[in-house]
Amino acid sequence: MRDFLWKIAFILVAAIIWELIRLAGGYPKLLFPGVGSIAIALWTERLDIISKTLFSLKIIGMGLIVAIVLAMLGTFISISGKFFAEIVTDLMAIMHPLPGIAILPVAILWFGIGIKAILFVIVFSAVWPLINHFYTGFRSIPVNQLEVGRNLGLAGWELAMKVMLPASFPHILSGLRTGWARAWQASVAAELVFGAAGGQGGLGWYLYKKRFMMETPGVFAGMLIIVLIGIAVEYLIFAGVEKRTVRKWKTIIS
Amino acid sequence: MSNLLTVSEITKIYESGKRKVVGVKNINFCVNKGHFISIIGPSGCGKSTLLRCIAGFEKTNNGKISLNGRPVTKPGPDRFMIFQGLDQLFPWLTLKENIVFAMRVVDKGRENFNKKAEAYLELVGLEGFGGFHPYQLSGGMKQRASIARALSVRPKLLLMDEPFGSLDAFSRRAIHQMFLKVWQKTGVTVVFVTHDIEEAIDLSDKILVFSQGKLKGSIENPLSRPREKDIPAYRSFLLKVSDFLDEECDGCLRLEEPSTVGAKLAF
Repeated sequence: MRDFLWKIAFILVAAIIWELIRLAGGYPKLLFPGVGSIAIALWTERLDIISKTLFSLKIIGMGLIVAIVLAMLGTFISISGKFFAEIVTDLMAIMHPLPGIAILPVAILWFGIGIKAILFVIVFSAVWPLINHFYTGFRSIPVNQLEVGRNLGLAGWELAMKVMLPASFPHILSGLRTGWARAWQASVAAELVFGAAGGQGGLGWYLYKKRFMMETPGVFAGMLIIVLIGIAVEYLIFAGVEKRTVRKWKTIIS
Repeated sequence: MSNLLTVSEITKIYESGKRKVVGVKNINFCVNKGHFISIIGPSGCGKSTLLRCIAGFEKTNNGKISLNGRPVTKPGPDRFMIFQGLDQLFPWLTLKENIVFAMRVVDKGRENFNKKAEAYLELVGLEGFGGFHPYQLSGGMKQRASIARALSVRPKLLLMDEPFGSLDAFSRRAIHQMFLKVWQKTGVTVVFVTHDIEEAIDLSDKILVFSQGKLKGSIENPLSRPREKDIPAYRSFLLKVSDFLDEECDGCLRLEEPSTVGAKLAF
């Protein structure tokens, strides 16, 4: 509760500073909307914002599921032999530094402007950090636990699912956090660059439209929503999962 | 008594780059069913290597290991290993779940193993701790739970690699007494690796002495159970074993290229 009050106080202070900067003036009013006008934009455009948010979440969710499945497969393949490990490590070294948005031109050429191209960019952006974390996790499992699993007669897929997966959960969790953040970034960035196709779009597309129409309060409202969703997912999903798993097992320092 | 484990002409060589390091060489011995044997020797003498070969974690270069006449090729629950490390329990499961997990993997049944798991916890003196997670336990309790989990899959052979080496003297004494009772009750056969001579004498029927990858000798333990430390027979046996060790292991610390080591230290 005290934590919560501190957070509210922090937001209030930030809003007051924001307002002070706005009142100080010295630049076009249009560029720096007040807290009030952002709130009004949020309210009047709530339906549009909600539908755009849902669209974003849907496409990010789809992309993340594909990326997680691919990353798991990639990790299982890479731990199954030295040869594969080298291939996956090399691929990661090549692909990981490449910003997801840099792949957008290729995605448009391959899939055209539309949901498939965005999905491709999201999957590409999320899959490399996911593999990176999963692979690190699988390789930092306590040897004794792995050998107890083998001693019981577990091997291959069964050993991976029953022992390696839970034993590497701290890394899996941080991989999911990074993957989720990358997926968000990719979806917003992709829509900001080429907009949306067929009238459907997410929050990136919303930001793009508001900027195009010079509706600055709307731009800030969109950004605020992106931040709020980030916070919500962290507190409602990741923190909860963490508390029920690695914090409960004390496999991470809390 | 029948022969449970037969180790014949076992050789294990580790290759690191171009260099070859002998783990163990031409090892021969047998273990009778229900017996408790210890393997002692200085660090690096190959005793853990041998245990890992019996467990099936390491492939041997030569020789044959067989359990009940069947050759050992890979790890299996009929030979269960207990390690020195205090991290061998699965931290994401409670103690009871750790045991149920093991029984479920081995027996492949959907039967409710909870009752049995509790019985095994009680066997090692951990009744009432089934709901605890490993981090909530002391080192001694963790090793007790590991023993309970190992016994729950009813192995023919327990392989123990300095299982009490990380414990303080008090917990070690308590766990010795507990483990001897459990051994007598279950009749399980034990191969126990240690570098602690007294531990070997207190626990085992026979002591195998290792040095530089070779089996130097085997000494039958003449003391009757329960073993008392303050009798002359105990002290004279202790002397006998340590003299044997001193003789066989004299200068056996395998320092590699001491001249270069010295040169490095000089700067």
